Amino acid sequence: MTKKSLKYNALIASMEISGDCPSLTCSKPQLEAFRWVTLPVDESLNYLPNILRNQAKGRPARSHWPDDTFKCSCCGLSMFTSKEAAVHKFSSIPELNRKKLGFTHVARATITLDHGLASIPNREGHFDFFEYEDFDTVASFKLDSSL
Amino acid sequence: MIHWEAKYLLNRLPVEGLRKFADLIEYEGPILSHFKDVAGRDYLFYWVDDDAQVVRWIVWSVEMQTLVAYLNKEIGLYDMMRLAQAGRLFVVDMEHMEALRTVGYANLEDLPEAYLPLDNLIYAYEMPEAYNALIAEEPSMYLTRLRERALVFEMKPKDSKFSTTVEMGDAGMFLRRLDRSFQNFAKDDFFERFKNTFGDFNRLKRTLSELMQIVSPRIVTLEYRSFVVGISSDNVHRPEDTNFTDWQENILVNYQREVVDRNYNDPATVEAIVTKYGEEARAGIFGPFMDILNDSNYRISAYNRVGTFKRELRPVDESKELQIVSRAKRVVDPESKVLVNLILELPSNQDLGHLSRKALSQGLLFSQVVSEAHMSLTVIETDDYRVTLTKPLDYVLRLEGDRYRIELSDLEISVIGTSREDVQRKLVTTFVNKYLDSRITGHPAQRLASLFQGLGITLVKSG
Repeated sequence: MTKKSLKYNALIASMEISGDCPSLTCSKPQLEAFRWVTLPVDESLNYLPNILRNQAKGRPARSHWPDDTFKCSCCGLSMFTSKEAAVHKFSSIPELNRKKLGFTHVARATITLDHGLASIPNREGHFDFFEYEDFDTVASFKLDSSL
Repeated sequence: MIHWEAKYLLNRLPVEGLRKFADLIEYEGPILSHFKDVAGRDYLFYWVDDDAQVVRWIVWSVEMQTLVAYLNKEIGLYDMMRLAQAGRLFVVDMEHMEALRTVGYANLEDLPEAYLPLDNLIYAYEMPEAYNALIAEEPSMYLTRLRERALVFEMKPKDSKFSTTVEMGDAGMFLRRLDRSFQNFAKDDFFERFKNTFGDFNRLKRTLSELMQIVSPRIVTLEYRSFVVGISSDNVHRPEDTNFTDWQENILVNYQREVVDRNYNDPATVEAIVTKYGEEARAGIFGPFMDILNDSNYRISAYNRVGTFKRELRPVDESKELQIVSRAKRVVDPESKVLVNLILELPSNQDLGHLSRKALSQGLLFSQVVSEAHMSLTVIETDDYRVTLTKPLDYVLRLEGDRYRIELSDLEISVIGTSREDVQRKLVTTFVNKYLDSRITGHPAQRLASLFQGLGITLVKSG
């Protein structure tokens, strides 16, 4: 079987990460994934890794003294393992920051081992998804609900 | 980005050797982060704004105690900002991830309102694991952490004679019973959960013994207006084997759910307990707890500090109690006593006040544990009076669990004590007071006067 290449390999290479990215602990997913978006849900900016989305919006990356783990995470798409986790996480952020982040809705998609690699979800149900080159993220995600 | 000019500009953040300790709120980058400087002082970085060139942070020095209160959900983010040390905050514009562009110095009231987290959001998650080691090193924080999850019990005397105060012996008994019940629950719960993961029973016992040293209940709050005690179990010192972390984290909540937050008079509850727990476990866990509930001298209530549980704890009907713990399976308190009826064969001139062990063992014909003994006395002494009776005063001494009760039903006297001496002292005081009251015209006790007269009482004031 041919090894699939990641959609943002070039971006990962440009970040000068010393370790493995994605991490070797990433696994092939099979789950319903949830992601914060803005409307319209099929806006392509919704599905860019955060470092590219920030660049597209003319904003610097938000970090202080970033390490390799952070740099690698910037090259993935933030997702949640459940709608509840996605909504709870959003509500845990102060309102002024929620406004600045700009997200308004939750979109959902089924992601499988054919679509990419997923990091181990953290205690908040958040994980990074590193999509394969041939995965059409925009077409796969459908609007679920408002945040 | 909001145009904001600091009254005072600095050329750098006046802090040496900052290193990040944890991101407390983050999404695709930090939103609120905790840093430490070389001297171990604590700082918070809070993201408030950005533009094409810079990300703006409010930075302030925070007391660790304040930060722990935030992580314990006791105060909100805005509270933390208001508690900035000396009220000083820095506004830091940071460029390209690393370089500081400008640093302004401000008081809270100088900041744009848009930079204030006025929703004062409470921290939404469990305290990050990284803080356990910090807290373990700081006694006051260790206590704060344990208090956060405390299960609180309140004992209120039913009799208001001594206001809401509780006898020390009763408080001690209460704590002993609670401790026994909790420890037995923890052991049983651990055994049931992990019995199949240990091939070696001795290793299971060793592990359990080590864990019990950590999780044994500790007193974390105490009030004496009425007796209020908060107990908690340690979730700061972690076991070496991380497989037991969840068990440790949840053991107190599980005890609350399985033992404290129960209606023992509900048949379905009793059935669920009998189905789930074996006889030995029921005796060890529920026996001492029901003893607490059935203490007729006190009203007991319980609640947790996080505010999700509050309950008045009711006495358990005898039939339900016996379904859960049969008398035969009652775990014997090492300090408990029984009344025994003995029939001895002794020389007719034997002084019963000085029976030797040999006389006892050789002369014993019959013994039987009894729940009550019929006794009598002819002389009663208090600090103030000596009372002599021409007719013996008969009374019944009962041992109810670990309490002694003396009843003289004719004279409407019923007293309870924690020891034989205690209950006899109370009997004497109550008897004398009632006798004196019976001699007062119009006093309710006057109706008992003829009964007292029948005893042929001679009362002499001492001293």
